[in-house]
Amino acid sequence: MAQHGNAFRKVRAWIFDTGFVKQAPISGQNRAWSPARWPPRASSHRPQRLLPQLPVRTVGRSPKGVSASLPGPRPTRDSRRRHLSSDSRRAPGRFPGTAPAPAAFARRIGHNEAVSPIDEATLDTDTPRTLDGRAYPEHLRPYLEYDKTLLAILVREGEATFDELARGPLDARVLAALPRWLASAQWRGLIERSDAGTQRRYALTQRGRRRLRTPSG
Amino acid sequence: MPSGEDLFVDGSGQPQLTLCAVLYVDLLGVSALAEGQAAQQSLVRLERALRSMYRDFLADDSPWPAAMFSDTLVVAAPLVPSAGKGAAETATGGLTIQAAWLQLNLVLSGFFLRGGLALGQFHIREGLLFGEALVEAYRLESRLAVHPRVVFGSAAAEAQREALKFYSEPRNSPQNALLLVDQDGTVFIDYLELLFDEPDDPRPGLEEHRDAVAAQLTTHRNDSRIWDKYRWVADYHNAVCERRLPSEQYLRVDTSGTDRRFDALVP
Repeated sequence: MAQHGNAFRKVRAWIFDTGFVKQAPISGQNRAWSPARWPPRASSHRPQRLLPQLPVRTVGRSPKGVSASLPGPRPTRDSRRRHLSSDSRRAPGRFPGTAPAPAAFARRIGHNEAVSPIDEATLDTDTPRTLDGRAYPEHLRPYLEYDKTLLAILVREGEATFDELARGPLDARVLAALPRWLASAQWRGLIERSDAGTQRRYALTQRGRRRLRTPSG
Repeated sequence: MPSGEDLFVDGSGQPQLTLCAVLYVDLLGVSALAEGQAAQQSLVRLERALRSMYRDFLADDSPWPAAMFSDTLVVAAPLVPSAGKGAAETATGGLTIQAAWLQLNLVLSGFFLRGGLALGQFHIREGLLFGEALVEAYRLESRLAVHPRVVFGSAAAEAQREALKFYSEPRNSPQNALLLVDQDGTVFIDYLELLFDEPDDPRPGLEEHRDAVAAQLTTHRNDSRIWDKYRWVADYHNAVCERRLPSEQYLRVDTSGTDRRFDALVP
């Protein structure tokens, strides 16, 4: 019986290692393991373009020398142990020694999935927290003043990439604030982010719509 | 907001200088990659690293005009009158965040960079780059930065320091959360801080950064000039970990990789 168990584990490991499991439907608990990666990575679906032909370089310099490539560093016992469990730690919402994110927290934008690491009970407080106890960064607080302007753009756009948002009729101050407003709005559950496609996308949440309707929003 | 290039021509269509924050970055090791046997693969990797980030810095309609040649990328943030008194701070601050994202994403793709961020007159249009801010940013990159860091010129740093005055708690200001002062007094961009901006777990990003630095330290062990640069990155990485996640020792670059080795003349 134990041999059958080992065989089963080997087959299961092969399925996961080869990525074969990606073709199977994701359901229930697996959503907490969805491949929402950070930072976004290159995809073979992205159209390949050569670097732009920009002819001017005002200063010239000689090529730099680099020594031959050598094998990477030998991992320590500690790092090996941690890399073994890296899958569980990469999935946002799962942290060592804690329960997985609630299934209800698995969210969907189009065909992409993302899991928020925010503790939902703290979302409407002054200091939202993540499930592992990290608190909303104080330096993001000044960006609340851009809620109305930027949430309104997301209402209009549905979902958008950073560049699509930046191409809107934003004045310089709002444009400069945009990256950190996006971070602030994620902490407060006003928008949701998906990294599963070739480009990071943002979409409004129900909480974001409610925020837009409040007088201070 | 007018499109980026509109600001660089006057009413009669003549090119003109405009006050800008200008970022000049040099990707380290790219020249060697271009001459290496795996140049084609390196080109693909570089192209992906530059274009497959959370935004496309080289898009034609980018609000931040940019140009790239060889291993050099120049990005500008024009000061626009509608930003009022805070125009310099707005342009510098906005470009700082862009530079931090750029640096973080490139480093995590294995491309370290060194750069300068300056404030002054600049022109960029149809591939033509010109202006004092470009010259200053280049000098910052080539003479002051030394290590893989993006350093601020005096006017750019002053604009950020001025902005601190508007905050009741400057310690919690956005500027303070993205800039550090090195022991030589140079203000540089603390790009790892971005890992703590969003609610995502910062540890995977720090692990990737740790491994990227460790790989460079190993690769350049026999070239002290280059090794010292990555030793600086390791020190920076470990300082961030010490400040933000002091109990998580595994996130730090292993000191066996950062310590110098001294061998006897006769082994």
